[in-house]
Amino acid sequence: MTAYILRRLVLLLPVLLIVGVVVFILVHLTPGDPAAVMLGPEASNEQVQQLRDQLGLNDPIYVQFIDWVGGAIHLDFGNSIFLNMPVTTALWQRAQPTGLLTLYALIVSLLIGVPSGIFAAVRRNSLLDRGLMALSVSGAAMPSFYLAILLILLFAVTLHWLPSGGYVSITDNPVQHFKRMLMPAFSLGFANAALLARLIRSSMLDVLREDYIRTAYSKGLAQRRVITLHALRNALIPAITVVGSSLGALLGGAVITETVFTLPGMGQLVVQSVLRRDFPVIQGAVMVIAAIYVLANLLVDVLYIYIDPRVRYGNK
Amino acid sequence: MSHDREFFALLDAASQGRMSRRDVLKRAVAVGLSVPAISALLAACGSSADSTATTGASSSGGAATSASGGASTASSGSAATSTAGGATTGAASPVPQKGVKGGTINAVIIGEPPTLDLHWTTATIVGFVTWNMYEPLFAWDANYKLIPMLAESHEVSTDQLTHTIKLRQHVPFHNGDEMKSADVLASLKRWATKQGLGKALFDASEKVTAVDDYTIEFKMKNPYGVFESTLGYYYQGPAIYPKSVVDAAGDGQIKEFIGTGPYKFVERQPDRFIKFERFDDYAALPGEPNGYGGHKYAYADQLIFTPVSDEAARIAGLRSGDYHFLESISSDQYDTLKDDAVATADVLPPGGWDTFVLNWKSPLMSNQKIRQAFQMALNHEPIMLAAWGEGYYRLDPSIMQKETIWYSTAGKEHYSPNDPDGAKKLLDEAGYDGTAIRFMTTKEYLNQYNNAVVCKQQLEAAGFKVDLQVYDWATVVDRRSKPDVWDTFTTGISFRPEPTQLAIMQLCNWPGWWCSESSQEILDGLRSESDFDKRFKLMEQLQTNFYTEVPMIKIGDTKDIVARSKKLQGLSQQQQLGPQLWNAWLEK
Repeated sequence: MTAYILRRLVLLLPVLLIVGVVVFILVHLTPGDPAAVMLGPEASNEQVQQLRDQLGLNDPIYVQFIDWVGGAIHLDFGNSIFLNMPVTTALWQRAQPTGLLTLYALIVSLLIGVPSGIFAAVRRNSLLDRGLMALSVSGAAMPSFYLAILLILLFAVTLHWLPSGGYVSITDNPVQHFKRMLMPAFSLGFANAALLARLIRSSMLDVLREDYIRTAYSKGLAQRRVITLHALRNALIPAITVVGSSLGALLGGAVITETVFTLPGMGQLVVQSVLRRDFPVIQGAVMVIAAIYVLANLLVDVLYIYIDPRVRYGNK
Repeated sequence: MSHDREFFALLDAASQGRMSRRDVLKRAVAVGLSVPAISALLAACGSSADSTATTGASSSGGAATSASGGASTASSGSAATSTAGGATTGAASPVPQKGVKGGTINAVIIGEPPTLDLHWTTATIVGFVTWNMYEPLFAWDANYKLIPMLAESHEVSTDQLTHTIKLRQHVPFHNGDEMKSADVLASLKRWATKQGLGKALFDASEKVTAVDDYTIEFKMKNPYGVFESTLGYYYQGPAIYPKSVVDAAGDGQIKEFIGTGPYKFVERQPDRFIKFERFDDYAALPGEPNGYGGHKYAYADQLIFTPVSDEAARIAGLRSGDYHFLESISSDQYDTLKDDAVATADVLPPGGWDTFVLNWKSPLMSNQKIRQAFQMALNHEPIMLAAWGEGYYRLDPSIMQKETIWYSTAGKEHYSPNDPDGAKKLLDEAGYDGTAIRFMTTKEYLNQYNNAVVCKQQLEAAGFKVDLQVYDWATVVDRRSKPDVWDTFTTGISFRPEPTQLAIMQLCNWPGWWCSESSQEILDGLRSESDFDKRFKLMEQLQTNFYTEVPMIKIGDTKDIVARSKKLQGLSQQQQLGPQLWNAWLEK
């Protein structure tokens, strides 16, 4: 088991190297000059060249690449051109909003998705089932930014219950923090909840047809016990894969949610950095996101072992 | 193809008055023409609506127009010694007299400023944010004339070679130190290493010295007419920092943000907010506010600037009461906001102007006849209508806005000639071989793209071939510095109160490379001459050159729309250089 995890972690290195090379090339092939963006539209050529020299942008591309790889090995992604701070600091500042947003969205999707899936399966073909599934189809079909705008119009513009956007750190003011994260978490988590509900419903239906469920009923167990103790655990296995891979989808969706709700997260940082041509930040952020993705997949694989004892990895 | 046919059929019908605007609109929508095409058609329907289009909103700001002569930029000391006491002369600033103290003004900016070091960048957003904490030696008043701000007076010797600036006394920086000549000298010297105008000023001076704690003297090699206006430069302007801050910065950006302004810097969290609070020891000038100078009230306890990149999010935040001021919104949003319960929108007097820049270094555009044909082919009304919409632009030939003392109609016969046949003839004379014009534009600023689409139609009607290339803005900025990859590009020229400060006056050093000896000579005269009447004549000559040499096409003036909470009061309509938030207040 430990050997398996270690092997997977070692495999992370070539993945990151490939991602790094590809991103570096893409970023440097894209036209656009960070120095010109920084100095504004009316800066003279002379000024721009001066700043390019200062930033090392006039060095040959292979020199820039070697410098960058040399730093990245020590987890030093260089300095942000635009923000005038180390890339790692910039990423770390943005990690909290994105991390918490993804976490809350995941919680929202589990809180809504799992019970709806179970209820729909247990009350199969009832009005409740059809209602929940209709909601889930429309939830999965609706783009999260559209839901976000509807939520803002209702709760911020019309009712004035919640602020329309912005971020307050959880340590600064927990109440404000949750007020500001409620709509983003819901709009991001809802589509995922819908997906999860449909999945749990169908795998639950499969499990409920199994013999051991009938046995459980026949030995006189209450329905609640049968569902939670016997059926759910087995029905959750396919759901775990989806939750794991949806972590990636949530991180990706966070880009849009962060833009609509003005949350200063990693997604916003990447988008803004592309517009500003802030090369070091784009490179650093993509590396970190790639690493998170790979690690999340590893986590899911490990979780399998705990939920389904039949699963074994490694050399026997 | 069939769209093209429909377009021209409708265009015919419209321009000959055979169809009403409404019928044209219905028909155009029915056949599925694009928005720019429809706008062009509507424009062709007759100009009855046009005159109303341009007046609608310019209500107050316009009055500042022709204050004519007395505009000495660097004349004798007498004009300069009047320390802003004269209050507002023009109608441009509704003077806030009974504002409410307190509260936090939440202003939204469309992106994170690259720095808070004003000397560092030409990005307008930096000026917008930081002029609340920094101050210059000279500021622009309500009529866009210069008045002393941190300077007490400015005297010029009779031979025009010695400029003596007396500084105001007892003006504290935010760190408690008093502003003295050493600070001013250090700031100006550093600024001159970053900014072209500053460099030119120091290059033109023989010696710059601090005579005593409150006096600075510039000994010039030759008369220098733009002395004051250089020190009043706004974006990337010569803000006065403490000497200690300048020294600590070395070659890099400043590390502490300290000025003498009415607000002091508190905190910046990139992409989240920038916070200022009122500087209680601020040494305000007596009297009333006067444009960007004069008395500054600093009603609000705090100013917070939040970068919000998404327009829908900006508007939602304003309507829900989270924000009080949005620096710029698209005209589509105006109708929604003007009837909102919480928010409102103001159409401002024109600021910048839109242009197509022509590349003097490309084989095609280096031919003056082809440039003139380009100019002759265009009808500016439909172009501006497609780009900005009715009511949000002004057709005007002057390269200096009507709101300044520099307004002139010189060369107006070449403005919007709308003569495709004449253009064809010129193309024949030039021996145009049908090479496509490489026309760069961007959808990041949709009005630029719409401009370009209508322009393309008009150029093609005159016999040009056009290759429209759409990029993101950063790519346009990158490519435009490479002379061999483009022929023309769309951009906006931002407002300047002094003609020599327009971006295009870098002539041969700016993309497009307007390398004309005659224009350079006039510009040199404009820079050295101090007498306004003489300068004005030179400016008119330069504008005539602009229309005959055709370095670019001025399409029209554009009006910005700002949105604000109804609670936010006291903002002047004079916002061409940026809003004067220090005189705004929040109603309880």
